[in-house]
Amino acid sequence: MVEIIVDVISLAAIFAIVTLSLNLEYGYTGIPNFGKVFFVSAGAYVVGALTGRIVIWIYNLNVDFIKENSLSVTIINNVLSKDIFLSLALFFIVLIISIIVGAFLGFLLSFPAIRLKEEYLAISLLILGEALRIFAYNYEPLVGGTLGVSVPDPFAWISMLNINRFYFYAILLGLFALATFIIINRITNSPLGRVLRLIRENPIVAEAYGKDVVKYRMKVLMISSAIASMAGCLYALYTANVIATTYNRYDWTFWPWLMLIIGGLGNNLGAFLGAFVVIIIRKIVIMYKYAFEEIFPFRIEWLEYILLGIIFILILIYKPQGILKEKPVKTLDRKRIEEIRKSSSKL
Amino acid sequence: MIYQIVVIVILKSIIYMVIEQIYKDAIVYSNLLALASIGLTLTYTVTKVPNFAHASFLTIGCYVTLTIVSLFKLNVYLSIPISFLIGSIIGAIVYIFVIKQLMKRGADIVRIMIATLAIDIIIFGAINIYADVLDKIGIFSRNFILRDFDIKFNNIEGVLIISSLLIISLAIFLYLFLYKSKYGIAIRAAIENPSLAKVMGVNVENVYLFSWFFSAGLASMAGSLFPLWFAAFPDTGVTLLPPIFASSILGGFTSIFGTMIGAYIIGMGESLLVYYLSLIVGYWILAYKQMFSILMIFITLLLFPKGISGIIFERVIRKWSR
Repeated sequence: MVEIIVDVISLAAIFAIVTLSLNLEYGYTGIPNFGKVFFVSAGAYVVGALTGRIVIWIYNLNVDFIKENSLSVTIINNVLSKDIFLSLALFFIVLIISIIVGAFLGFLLSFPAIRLKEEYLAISLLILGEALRIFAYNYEPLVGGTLGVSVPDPFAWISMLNINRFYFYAILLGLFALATFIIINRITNSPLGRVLRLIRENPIVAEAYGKDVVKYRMKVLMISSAIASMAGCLYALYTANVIATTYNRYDWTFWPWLMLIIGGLGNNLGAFLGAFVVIIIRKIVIMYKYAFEEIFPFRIEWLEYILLGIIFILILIYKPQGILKEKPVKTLDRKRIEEIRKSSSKL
Repeated sequence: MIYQIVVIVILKSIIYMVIEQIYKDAIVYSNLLALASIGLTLTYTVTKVPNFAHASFLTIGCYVTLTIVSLFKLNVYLSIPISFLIGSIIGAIVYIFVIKQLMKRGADIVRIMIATLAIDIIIFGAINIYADVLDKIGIFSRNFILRDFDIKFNNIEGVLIISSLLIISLAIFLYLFLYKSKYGIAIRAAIENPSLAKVMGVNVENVYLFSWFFSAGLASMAGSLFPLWFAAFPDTGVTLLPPIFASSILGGFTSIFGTMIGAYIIGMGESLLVYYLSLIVGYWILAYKQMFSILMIFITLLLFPKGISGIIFERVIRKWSR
């Protein structure tokens, strides 16, 4: 039971990060990003391609990371479990690279994103996610093609200290999700957040007030892509392997949208809640899978697809605002405004 | 004399094209692509919804054919009308219970697009359940190919002829229907200006329903011919989504005849161009075949967003205005 709760926390934390970034994009700024999988998988592929190779390069190990994958991962994990400093450095290097890659891809994609109409943008981002999957599936040197690669664990030293790896990851990922929540909450409750809502409601008015809509959209795409890429990086490290088929559009575009709409558009707490609700539903289905499988002549995953799809459509039709509604932006409280007025009237 | 030589050369090249396997591949593929992508264009122009579930209707067609051939042991070509019927009924259900409800409640385009993604996932799940059930009763339902059940006319595979005939007759039918019949004129009026069309007594709801009904049927019909030539899986729709969208976008996304041209460019490019490239640079490039359509989408959207029809029609207008 404890294992299941730990797994739910880790998975929900990762999906919460993705959903929060989607909330910043669509919930606040109105950019329909149907290519979430593109940015998430970019982060994951950074992990798959680089983590092992960096260690091989530093220690001059004589193994080929892709061709002798399981051997090299065993060797690398052995090395990493002895060297805590290198492991931590490796973790942060990979994390930062994936964030930079995500931000760069967001920057690149913001050029078409600004020009295209909503539906064309959605189509091209959706198709782009497919493109990256096809590329990673066929180009072996990246993440091992059809077989995928195992990823060395930068927290291999944890098991030396007699700490359960999964408990540790649940705490780590939970902390990352919390940090993301705080950062995005700060952004959306700042003057920037108010501008973003204005852009979502009416970009022409925003421009009339002298706000550079193009620049704001670019910024938002960069920030949220970086966050999504970070989530992909964390997921790859958590599952300790990267294979292109994991990063499909059902798991990483459809689920975050579902979580966002269930939780509530334009509400960060809602995005968090949505991630937990969906992950718990999925876990329950998986838990009772074997009991059902004796009754039905098919795999239960497919029933889960249908179930969640129908729930999603019902929510879209009957409760489009989600569980938690969007709240008005927080401004300064009354006392603070009075203080400012007094101090300014003294001048 | 010159005419005779030209005619002989053209005839010989046609015969050559029909005989060579790779050309057959290209022709069948582009025919099916055209059949499928016309529907996408139709729903987009009429209801302004890019239907992400469109390719899944094609997969439904694949499984209708499998059922008819393997379960009921009937003629393969019986599946064309049956799959059209099944696909179009599902399309109509989707419109009535999802799209119409969303439109009635004033949902914006993004919400409707997400809803089509949800429909896609529901159909995907349902098809997988069906495939599992077929597997249980001993019918091989994943990665199946039904070439052996095809009928041959003079050593030419039936699917080659039937799909070509289908697309030609569909083009003629659509032209007559949209430009000569009264209902077609009503459809075009509803596309141009829905509220004005309503005032003039056109039942716009009906037109929307018809477009979903018809386009889902077309996609499913294309799917019914698909396993006669290519291997089909439950994820056939997932892999065919990029080329279908590419042919629609290349054709301008609002022009049915532009879409047909686009489908042939995408289909021929994806099979022939990549094949010839593979002879030059090596066979590894065949794995990236799907990238062609993805690239075409981006080139079209960034360089000439109105697509082929935009270019052609602008030229025609310029010529006429001179």
